[in-house]
Amino acid sequence: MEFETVIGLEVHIQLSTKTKIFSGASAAFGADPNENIDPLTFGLPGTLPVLNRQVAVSAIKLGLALNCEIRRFNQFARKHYFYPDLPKGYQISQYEEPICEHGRLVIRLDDEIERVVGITRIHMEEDAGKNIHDARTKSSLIDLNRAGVPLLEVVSEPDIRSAAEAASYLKTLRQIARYLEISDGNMEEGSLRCDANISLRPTGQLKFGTRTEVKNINSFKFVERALNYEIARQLSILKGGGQVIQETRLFDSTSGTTHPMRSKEESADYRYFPDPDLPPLIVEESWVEKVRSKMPKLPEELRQMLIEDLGLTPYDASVLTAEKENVDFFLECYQVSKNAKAASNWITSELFGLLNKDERGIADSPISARNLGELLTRIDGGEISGKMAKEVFEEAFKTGQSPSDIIQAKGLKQISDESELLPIIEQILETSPNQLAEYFSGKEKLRDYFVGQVMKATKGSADPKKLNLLLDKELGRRKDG
Amino acid sequence: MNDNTNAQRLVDIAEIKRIARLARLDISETDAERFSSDVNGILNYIRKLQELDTETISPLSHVHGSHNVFRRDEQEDYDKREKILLNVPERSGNFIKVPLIIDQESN
Repeated sequence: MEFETVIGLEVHIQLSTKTKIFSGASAAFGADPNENIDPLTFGLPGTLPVLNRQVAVSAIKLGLALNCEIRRFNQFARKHYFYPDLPKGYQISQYEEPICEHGRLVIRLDDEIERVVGITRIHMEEDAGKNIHDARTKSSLIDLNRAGVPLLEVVSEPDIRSAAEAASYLKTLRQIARYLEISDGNMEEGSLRCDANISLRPTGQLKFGTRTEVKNINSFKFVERALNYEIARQLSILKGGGQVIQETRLFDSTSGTTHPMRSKEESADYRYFPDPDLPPLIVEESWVEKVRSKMPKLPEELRQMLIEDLGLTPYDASVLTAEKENVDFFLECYQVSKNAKAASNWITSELFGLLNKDERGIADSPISARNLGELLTRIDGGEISGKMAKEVFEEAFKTGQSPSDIIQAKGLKQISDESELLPIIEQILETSPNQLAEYFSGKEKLRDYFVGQVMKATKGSADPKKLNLLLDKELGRRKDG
Repeated sequence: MNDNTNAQRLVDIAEIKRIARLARLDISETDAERFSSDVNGILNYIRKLQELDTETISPLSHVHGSHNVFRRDEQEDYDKREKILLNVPERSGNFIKVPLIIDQESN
């Protein structure tokens, strides 16, 4: 029997606001333990939460980017559970009335195949603190810096059909969050956390199979690995005639496997109810429109533009739009040089090559987009050769000097003027009577020899196009003459 | 009117014990019985409200009528951090130390 995989993802996106969702304590990552705390973070009596407006704006932005309906009347709910990383005994979240619903996200496989994944909901909530368990001293160490840091939880429909699709979904969601500048999407630092609901069903069956929830997938590297392991595990159970148990499983990146989480004594009873401390949040249409008018162009739109209007390949368009900084750099470079293909090639091969070697991002590029554009204009104008440009480029990258300065300082100039180039060609042919005779007797490969000699004589600065043209003309003249 | 004659046991002792467990409260058998009878008294008293027709009334969660109360995303420094941490029963450096709790996570 053939089986079909069904995956739904719950992704927590940590927002990169300066402060926490309900208090003015810093939300920065990497502070010393319990440095970013205040009475509210500690849940001390008498404290009252006040919503960070930026969190609502971020939720609306993401909702619009994922084609969601934005709810007008919102309230926050208390989700009760006891755990030391949550001092007040409940998490402030949204329950039956999430701010965004009924959206969709277009994902791609191999730059070509397009799939649409439904977005069930997006809601705002606060993060919990961090626990470090120490079995040796039988204690847990609590750091409450993260408690109260704003999160958006994005829940997908069970529309994902493979581990590769899940990875693409996550990548696309991260890309959009970064374009919107609402989160850095850093999975290793926990800014993006993913739980996956996975089930298998006989192909063609409508009813879902029994699912497991896989938690603790904390790196992009592991998304496909964790899901493929769980798919294979369920498949072998079902093929052996067994039944999958509904449970939560943890992914262990060291072994690459999943194992059941210690089951709780009783099923969770969160006793949700509206938080009376927080007045309702009303999102009027005019607010939504104001946010919409300030939305940046999203990767999918830019990708289409690069392919359809600028003639780039789907692959190059995907590479350039992967990060907002990359496509911004490309567009600025293109503004100057007006040669999209050259700009794309130089950025994706030369520039990324050198940046990767130094483990630098494009934001730290020693060559600005304008300067690269100018360099490309000089190639297209025949002023310098591609080979020279590469030299200049490397020098500019190393020293931070502008390409124009380097070209001027080195006296680099392509010889493309006929009055300058022709005498050199004539002289080479004059001084190589034997090679010329051999050439005329049929050894056509010797043409390359003449090209090489001219290049040598001009120290590589002859314009190859012009050189070929003039050489052919000159050889033809001598043959006829 | 007929509160006393028509009183019902809306919450039994097992339910009281469950609520106590959820709130991490340790209560004795005698307490459980007493709370059960108290809570039932309260619920039976409030049950009077069930007589009202609420068909066309939407649930009310906030009474003061305000909405959209915001903070700007600006840091407010809090300088009594150390004072808060002094109230913590046990510390390890700047961490708060609590008995080992592994409930939701693995080993």
